[in-house]
Amino acid sequence: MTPTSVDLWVAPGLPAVPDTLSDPSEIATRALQLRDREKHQIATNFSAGNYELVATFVWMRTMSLLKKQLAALGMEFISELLQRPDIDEYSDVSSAVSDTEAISLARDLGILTPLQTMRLLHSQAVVAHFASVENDPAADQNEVMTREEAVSCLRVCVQGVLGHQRVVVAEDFKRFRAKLESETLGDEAPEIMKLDSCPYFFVKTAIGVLLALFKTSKSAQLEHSARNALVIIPRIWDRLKAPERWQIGQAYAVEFSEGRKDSVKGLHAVLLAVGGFDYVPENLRSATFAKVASEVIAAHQGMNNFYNEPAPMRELAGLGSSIPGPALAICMTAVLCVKLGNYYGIAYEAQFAADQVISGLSKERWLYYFNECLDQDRLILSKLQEGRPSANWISLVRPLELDSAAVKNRNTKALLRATNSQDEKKLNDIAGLMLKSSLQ
Amino acid sequence: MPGSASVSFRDQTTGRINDLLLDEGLTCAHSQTLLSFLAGALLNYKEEGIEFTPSVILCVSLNNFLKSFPGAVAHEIGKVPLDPSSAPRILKDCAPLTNKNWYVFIERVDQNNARYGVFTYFRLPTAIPLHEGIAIDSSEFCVLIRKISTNTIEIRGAKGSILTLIFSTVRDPSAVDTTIQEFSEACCVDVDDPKIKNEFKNYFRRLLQDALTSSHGTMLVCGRDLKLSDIPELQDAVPVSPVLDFQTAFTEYHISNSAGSILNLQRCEELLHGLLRCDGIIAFDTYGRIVAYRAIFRPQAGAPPIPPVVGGTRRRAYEGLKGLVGPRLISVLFRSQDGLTLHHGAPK
Repeated sequence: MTPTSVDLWVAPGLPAVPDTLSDPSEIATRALQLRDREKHQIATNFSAGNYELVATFVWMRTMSLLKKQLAALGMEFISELLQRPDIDEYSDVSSAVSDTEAISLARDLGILTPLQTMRLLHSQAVVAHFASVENDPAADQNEVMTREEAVSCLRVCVQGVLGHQRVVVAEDFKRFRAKLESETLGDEAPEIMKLDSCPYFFVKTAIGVLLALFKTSKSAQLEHSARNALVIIPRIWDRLKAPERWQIGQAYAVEFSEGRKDSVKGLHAVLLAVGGFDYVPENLRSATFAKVASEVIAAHQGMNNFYNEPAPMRELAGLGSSIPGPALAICMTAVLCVKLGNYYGIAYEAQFAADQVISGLSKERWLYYFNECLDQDRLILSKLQEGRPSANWISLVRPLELDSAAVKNRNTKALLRATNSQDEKKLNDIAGLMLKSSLQ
Repeated sequence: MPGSASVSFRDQTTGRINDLLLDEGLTCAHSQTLLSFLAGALLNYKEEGIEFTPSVILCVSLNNFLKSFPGAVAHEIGKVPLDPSSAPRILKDCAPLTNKNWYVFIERVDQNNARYGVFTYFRLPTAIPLHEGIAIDSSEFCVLIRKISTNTIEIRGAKGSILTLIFSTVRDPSAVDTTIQEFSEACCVDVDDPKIKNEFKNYFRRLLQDALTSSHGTMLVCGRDLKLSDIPELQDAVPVSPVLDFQTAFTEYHISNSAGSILNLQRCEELLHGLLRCDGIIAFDTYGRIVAYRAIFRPQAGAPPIPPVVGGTRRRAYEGLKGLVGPRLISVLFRSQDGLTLHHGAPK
């Protein structure tokens, strides 16, 4: 059985634009979500050689439309999937959700294919770089975006987002979610059975959906959701990694603190069934850590990242060295973003604060990251395919002398070995492999 | 021939507690008599002249019970035989340690032994209170006993059984929870911020329940655009200026969730408790704010006569205030010293 055949929801079938198409005007005409005027402007700017201009415009329109479509699923739901407690139903999706989060989420929901996801992440790095180049006379004036880079950006934006009718997107996924809150699924229901063999990111998403339903639904809907959670979560508990287990425990603590007794009862039954009370945090400090960590990540991935990273990174370091369990995964991602930097370098001003956080991490916490988080950390895995970030990774991780024998996952173990032996090429290859598996 | 007689509540109390324990799934004579003793002892428990009203939990596994409460912390204080003679020691050791956030636990180790101590949990202003939290896990035996008014002890179990012991010979039946809920809804009727509306209503109801439980009787009124100076019957009220704005404090807490916002909300709660200690009527508007206190009801000449009622000045004032509901007020809540709670609201 192929992984695709057990997907609970799938990405749209045929791409709107074949990979072989490289005429920008032709690609632009297939961007169904753009107005004619915009399509015309794209073609005109390509003809004029304004590649940075057109790529930035296309990118911003794509992200804006993608985020709008994601928001249609409900911001509470987005908050749960991204594990961002700072997002609520009144948050503005365009500012609250970073581009990378939107792309990653779109992949999880079946809006994008794995290949489109990787290409979009690549285009994001290119666009962000040229958008933040300063007007420095000393800078290399020949460093410009190439036509190929701009066409590649336009093509993947149309393939993944702009070329599809809005209503088609994530319909399968919506159906799955509606079913969870409108009927009680039995052990033998196909949707439940599929969870046994589907890729991990589907499992993660299913958890996010269930927890979001606990927060948003009431009366009969809540009862269905609670019963379904009691069937689904114990079934997949052994597969769940620590961040997802923490996510369930955190949801219990939040609902308890918000005084929502009915949801608490449902979640309590789930935690009792799996013996998961060790994952209920003692307080809600983790929400603050998660919020600031996501600000670091957003700054790192936004325009002018070298300028914008230091402030939130200092704030994260200022929260203290004892990072609560539920927030450890996102804090690790944030601090690694700063330490690894990107293709163009690192934010020097943010390094001291990042080092402060790093110095507070024990070996056990690093091993936790390797065992429970890294194979799903698309952001860091995509960095580890690039030259500078992977060199920075080796300089950071190798001195820790982590024992690869303590790492369970085969690929992660190999990645740590490559790190310890300073084999950058191998590190890049394994990271690419892991990124691919995280998307499939 | 003259003789002497005495009436004891003990037999009736013990019998009812036995029924409750059976409903909750525990057959244990020692637990029954211990609870019965506590019911009497908690009614007026004092140390050095200071009254304590601890909430006491009887459970069979403290660890399992506390699992439902995030951030729970317990301190064991001692071990005792499981019988009524241990109750004075438990109360002596633990009652002075209790307050709004610390409670007493008694864990039934086996049929003859118990250990006891105090516990707390991570309790934000909106968190589920203990008396509601014990029902989260109905499969785990647990009974809570607490004083809910001057003459009333409540015992409730995890499965939902509730026994109210009223140590009074004069009392009207009333559904306390419903009356407070109706009054609190009136106080929030114009709160329409969709970001906090439902959460605030729940919070405000629990706040009033908690505050009234620890009060020695009071009277609350609520009105829209309330100007007490325009109501001759309530003219001598002391205005709270600026108004005690629970809604704003709650909104800030809900949005920022910062330590400062929690403290701010707690400050408002503390002042409410203080206002309840004062004589007179407390006035709320329909935005969850206290606008005045210490109002004394003065019947006006020409007003319809107040029907005869059993009770003191406060009760007569309540009957008089009922006449203002509609033209001047939208809701009135009466709470007597012995816990009788009455509500009169304008038709919706």
